[in-house]
Amino acid sequence: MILFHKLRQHFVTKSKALRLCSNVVMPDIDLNYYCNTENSGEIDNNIKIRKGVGDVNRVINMYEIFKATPVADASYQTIRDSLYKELSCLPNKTHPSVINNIDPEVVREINQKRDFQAHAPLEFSEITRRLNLLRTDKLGHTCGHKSYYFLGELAELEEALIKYTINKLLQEKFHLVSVPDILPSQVLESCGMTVNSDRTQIYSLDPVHHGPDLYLSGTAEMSLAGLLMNTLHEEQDLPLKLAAVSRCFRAETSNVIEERGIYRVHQFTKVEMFAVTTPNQSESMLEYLRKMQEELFTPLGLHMKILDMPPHELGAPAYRKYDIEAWMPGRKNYGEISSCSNCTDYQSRRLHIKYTHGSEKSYAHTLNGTACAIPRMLIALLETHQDPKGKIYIPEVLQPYMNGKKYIAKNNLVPELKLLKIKR
Amino acid sequence: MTYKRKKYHHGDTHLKKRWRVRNRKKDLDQIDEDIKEENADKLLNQSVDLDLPGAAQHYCLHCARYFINEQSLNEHFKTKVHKRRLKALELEPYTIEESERAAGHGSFKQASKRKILTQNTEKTDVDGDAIIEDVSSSKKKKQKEVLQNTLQRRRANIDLAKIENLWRVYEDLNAKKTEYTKQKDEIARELGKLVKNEPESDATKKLKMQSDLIKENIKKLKVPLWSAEEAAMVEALKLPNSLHSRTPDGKNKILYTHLSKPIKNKNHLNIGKKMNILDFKGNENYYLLGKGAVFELGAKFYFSKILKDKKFVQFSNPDFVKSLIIEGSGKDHTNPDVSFILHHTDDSKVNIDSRLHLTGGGSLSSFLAYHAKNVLYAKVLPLKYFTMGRQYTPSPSEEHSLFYASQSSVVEIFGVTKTEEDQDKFLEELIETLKIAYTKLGYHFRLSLVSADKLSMWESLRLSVEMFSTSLQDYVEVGNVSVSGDFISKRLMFTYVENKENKFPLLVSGTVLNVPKLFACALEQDAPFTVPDFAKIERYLYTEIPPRIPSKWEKPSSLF
Repeated sequence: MILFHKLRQHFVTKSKALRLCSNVVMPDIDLNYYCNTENSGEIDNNIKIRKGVGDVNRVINMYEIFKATPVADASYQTIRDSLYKELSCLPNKTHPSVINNIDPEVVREINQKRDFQAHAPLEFSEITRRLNLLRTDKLGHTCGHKSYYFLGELAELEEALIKYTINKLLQEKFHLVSVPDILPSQVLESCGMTVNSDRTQIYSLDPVHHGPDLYLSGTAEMSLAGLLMNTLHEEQDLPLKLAAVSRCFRAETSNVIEERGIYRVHQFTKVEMFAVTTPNQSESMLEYLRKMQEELFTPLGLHMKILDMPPHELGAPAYRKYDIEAWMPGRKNYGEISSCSNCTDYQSRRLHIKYTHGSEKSYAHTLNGTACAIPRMLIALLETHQDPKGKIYIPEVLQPYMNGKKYIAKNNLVPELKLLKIKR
Repeated sequence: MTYKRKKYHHGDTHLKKRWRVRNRKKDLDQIDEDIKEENADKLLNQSVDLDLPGAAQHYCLHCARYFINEQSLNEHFKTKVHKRRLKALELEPYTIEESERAAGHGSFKQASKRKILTQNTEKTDVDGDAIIEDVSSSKKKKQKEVLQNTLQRRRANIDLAKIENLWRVYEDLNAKKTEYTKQKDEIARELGKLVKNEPESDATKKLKMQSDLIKENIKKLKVPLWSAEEAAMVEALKLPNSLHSRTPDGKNKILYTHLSKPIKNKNHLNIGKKMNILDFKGNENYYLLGKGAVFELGAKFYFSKILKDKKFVQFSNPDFVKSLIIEGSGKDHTNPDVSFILHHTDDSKVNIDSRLHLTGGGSLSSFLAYHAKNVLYAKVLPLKYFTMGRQYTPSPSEEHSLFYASQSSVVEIFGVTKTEEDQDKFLEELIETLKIAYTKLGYHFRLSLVSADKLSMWESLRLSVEMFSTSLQDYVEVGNVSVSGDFISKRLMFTYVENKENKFPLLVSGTVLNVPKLFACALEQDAPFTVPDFAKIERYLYTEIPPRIPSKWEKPSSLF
């Protein structure tokens, strides 16, 4: 009760214009660390082992100019802006225990690969085609590229997965939040998404018709970050654990054969976990989120391996990241079904999420993790639990959510369609 | 037809491969047969064959090749291969007669040449075809009266005279064209007779000239005819749907009322804020927290269960549709107040008619996108589908409250029926279902039929589920069901086959639950808000009696 009340007091409300709080907050980046020449070797090294974005020497040069410019100078504002722009490109620090890794380190494996014996497991698209559970063909003219419809029991399975996940998260005292899907660019940028330079990642609404600054949320993490922007928390209220079910929109596409079908799609439903902690708690919180994921996925009977990702696989905000890859027998491949990462103070400095520590205010740490990304989860489930006779076994934990059904059989309720031939 | 290349350093393996029998395409004389009009028609309109590239829908007549889509076909027309083929076809095929002449029977005759043109690839208005018949018949006086009556009852501002004028222009032009074609055919027939007997006479030459002249005229007519058709069609498409016999005039007709209005004057925004379950920043941007979010999910799952029990089939739909779907459902796809338009990421200029729109999976449009341009068999009807999802519509008001939110979680239904009887029966069943579903919520609500002047142009009848908002002091529509007949199915070429005939099904659709509006009304009830039983987590389990509920399940909500 107290928590959200406090939270709201710090929201900057703004009237019509964009109807959203888009008055840009300057990211508060640790200048003492990043602009100190003593650290530049370390930072430079970090950039190299990460994705190689950012240039620490340029930052330091700019900082020298910035320091030399008096506040009253006309160019002060622009110099400061470009310094901060350059600073925001720098990635987060990297966790010391993964810093030397090149390949992902397998932390543990869960469940055994299922033995199909003589039967060769089918691929997701083949299973759904035989059982009439999915439509992806001939939709380019009506819904756009890579659209899909789940039909009948596959849609029910989606609902069951959401119920199952939410149920578990509520037991774990996560706070459920329903989030908006249309966000202003600033929130996205603060989450480490570059909006303008990389237009292929995020969908945006037409700037002429709907205002210049509206984007579709790529994950609930962005919307939740928007909720927490400019908030102050009491130390005893932390850690704060949030969960959200939302639609995710991603503009990226892929023509890689491993990512065919609904493996990588433009829009999907996802249950996301998000946590705000004190700096001391964040490492244990990351382990907790990982444990949550393990507890959620293990009863589903999937064979999985948990990976501690090496630095070059981390996104700019992440300090450390675990990925869970599930075995997809039809594809004969591992596919990433979830990840959780610790962003330390990278996001909170940009979004101004603070907590009171005695009389001091300091930046909190943020973490996020996937609780259930529907399309990939469905691929793993259907491919793992297929039956040589063509039915799909529903894992026991999901059965109560599906009216006690044990199997998914061929869907005869949705008729197949035939394209209309147009006579001229 | 196979060309050897100019440089010979690499042998002729590539030619040998092409000469293999299995690689044989049709021969030139066979194609000559194909390009006769009656055969050409058949080949250009083949039925769907999934074994052939592009399901046999994109065929190049002259090269006897199938292409996967319109684009690759058009690309092919620009290629050297195709142009060479046209050139090769210009010469008439070698015949037995010619060989005999060469052997001394008869005298030498120069092989004739003709002009070969690439098959006609002009686009036709795919979604308008079915309407032509419909509107032209509405010219009949009686139907005109009905139409005028409809317009009056809807208080629609449409100039019927203007549409009629446009149609007249179009029909005149069309008549002229038929006239010319008839003349051309006659001349061609006479010419055929004459050519055989006296190929060089003056009469033949005169007829030839006449025929050329008429052909020229037809050609000239083409452009004005197209533009007239388009102008007439665009206006005709603006005509609203006919009204259902149950649609009332002037005032909504109330069918059913449950409990009585709440009396206290409450505002959901204040209550939501005070209880920390709603963080409302604007119509486009609001968060439901804790109990509010539990309510949202619970209400959706509650309706999902009821609909599944009523044998509705669950769907999970994509959130984007193309402009043609928006247009086909009788809305203006260029108007940003009607639907969210996506910004196109690639810089290439995008046609205004083929943009992507964000409508959400829980919308009529996404069901329509599933069915547009598709055929069903009659025996599968009626169909009953539903989906849970988001719905995105630009906010209709400057005012800010959950009632005008631009994104809402909804439960959407979609029904396809054959006859009007089926349609009315389906509606009746739905009314019963909704009555029971909403009664169990325990709030005051009423069901009413919306009057003609408040209907959208595509609706012929709308049932509205309304709850009372004490902040607005008015009823708010929290759910609806619309009957639209074949209005949309005709525009989107959504058909079914019965007795080898294509027919248009009748559609019933609606947003049976709009969660933010229901939530707002629930907050404005007299009694203080708690998460109602139907939305509790225990209810997530499908069975009525949850098997084992650890007591700690009730705790999370008390955290807030």
